[in-house]
Amino acid sequence: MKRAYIREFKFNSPLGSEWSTFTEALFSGQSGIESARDLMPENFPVKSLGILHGANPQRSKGALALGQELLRSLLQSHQESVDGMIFAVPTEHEASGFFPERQAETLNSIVEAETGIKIPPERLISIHEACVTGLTALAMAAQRIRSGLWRNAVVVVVDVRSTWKEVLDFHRIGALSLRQAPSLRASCPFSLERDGFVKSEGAAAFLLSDQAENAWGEIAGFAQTNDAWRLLDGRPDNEGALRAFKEALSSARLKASDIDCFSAHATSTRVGDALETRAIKSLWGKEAYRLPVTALKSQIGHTGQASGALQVISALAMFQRQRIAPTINYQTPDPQCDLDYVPNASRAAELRHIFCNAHAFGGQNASLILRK
Amino acid sequence: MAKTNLVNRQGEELQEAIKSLLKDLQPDAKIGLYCAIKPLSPPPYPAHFEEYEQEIGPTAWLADLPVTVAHACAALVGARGPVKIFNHPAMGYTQAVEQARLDLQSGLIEQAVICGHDLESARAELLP
Repeated sequence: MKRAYIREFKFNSPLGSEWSTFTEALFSGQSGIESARDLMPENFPVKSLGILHGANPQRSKGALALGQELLRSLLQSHQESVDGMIFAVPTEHEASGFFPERQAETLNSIVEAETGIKIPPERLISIHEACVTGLTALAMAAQRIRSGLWRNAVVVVVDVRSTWKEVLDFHRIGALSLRQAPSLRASCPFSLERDGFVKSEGAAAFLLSDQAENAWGEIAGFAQTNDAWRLLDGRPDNEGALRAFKEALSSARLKASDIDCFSAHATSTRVGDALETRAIKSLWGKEAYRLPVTALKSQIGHTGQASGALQVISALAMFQRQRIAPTINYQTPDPQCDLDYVPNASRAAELRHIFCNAHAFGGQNASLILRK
Repeated sequence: MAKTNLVNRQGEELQEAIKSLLKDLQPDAKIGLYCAIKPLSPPPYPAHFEEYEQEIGPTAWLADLPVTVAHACAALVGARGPVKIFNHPAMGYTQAVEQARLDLQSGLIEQAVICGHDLESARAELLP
């Protein structure tokens, strides 16, 4: 079996889009969350957001324009042939609608301009799998490379849906934080004060290849399972999440003890963070207390479909620095969340395998293991 | 709210179609669900958020999500493997079949259910 490597990537996040800016903010424990006061209508109930500066669809670029920009930058910086593309560029804009066929053509025109290759339409794969999309898009590309179907693949995932409607929709189902706290402290996964997530924007583009030379890391294993339970809640017994954990480890031919760090989905909801903690403890047992668990969303909020992709980028930063990013805003321990969350300060560590985890509407669970 | 009911109705029709497959599914098999679902363009909504709150139900937007239809089908089928959603209107079904083939070949699943559903056309046909 071939191996799938991450050769290059570009991104935009509430912590910035430049590698040096992002990594500095990540390891020094900065927050990218800001007040929504100037971004939302007057008297709007949601007070905090994570915004991509210069990329908000209401004020400047739309989702597709951002996807084009990242893809062009990716291919210009690392020219390779491209055999296929997995992409997820949902739009939430009254005027524009959502037309995956046009997005496929537009993104393909960038590939053609930069590489001279036009990808056949059946290999332009548009997916929509809610908050597991970032991980599943990478897994699908890796699966095709590992099986020898493709040699090089690009993955483009963008989520910049921060119109008042999109934010209000999540608010009205009780998903967002309403805590009276400064915006910088609004997202606090695993801390007793947590009461919901902060809606954020994010985007990433990756080049994957079967060639290891100069790679940032390898996608060593992955799994996707479904709870077949409720639309908005995870199964209380964690059966689906646990199967994803086990199948990802099996796919990577690793034991649980081989994992050096767990990048949690950790949206900062009361139920979700406790369930994820319980799932980790179910698989790792007593060793769970020695497994560092980090929550990127404490710093950038919940970037929806892009969240798994940005977890992977933060993991690559952790490999590069051999340092675990912190879970910031961790204030009060919760008896239901009693693991080592790397609270508030980054820490040096020997990192060879990082486990990235995500959950989504519809009871979806996705796990992906990165190897340095 | 009419749209919510409409989409749910279409979801139910898809579930009816899938029900006919259930007898072929093995108990306890690892089943993957592969859906080609063309997403809905956002329908018009009030210009101000307070009107939106008054006029539109808090969960109406969930009915527009492809993942909602897929979730209902996954629960019906008992699909506990991957639930994949492809939304290219012309290529989505081909891509769903190809993904199912890959997952079967690699042993990720033992059985695959593949379905197609066009929420946009359903709305266009049934709404005035």
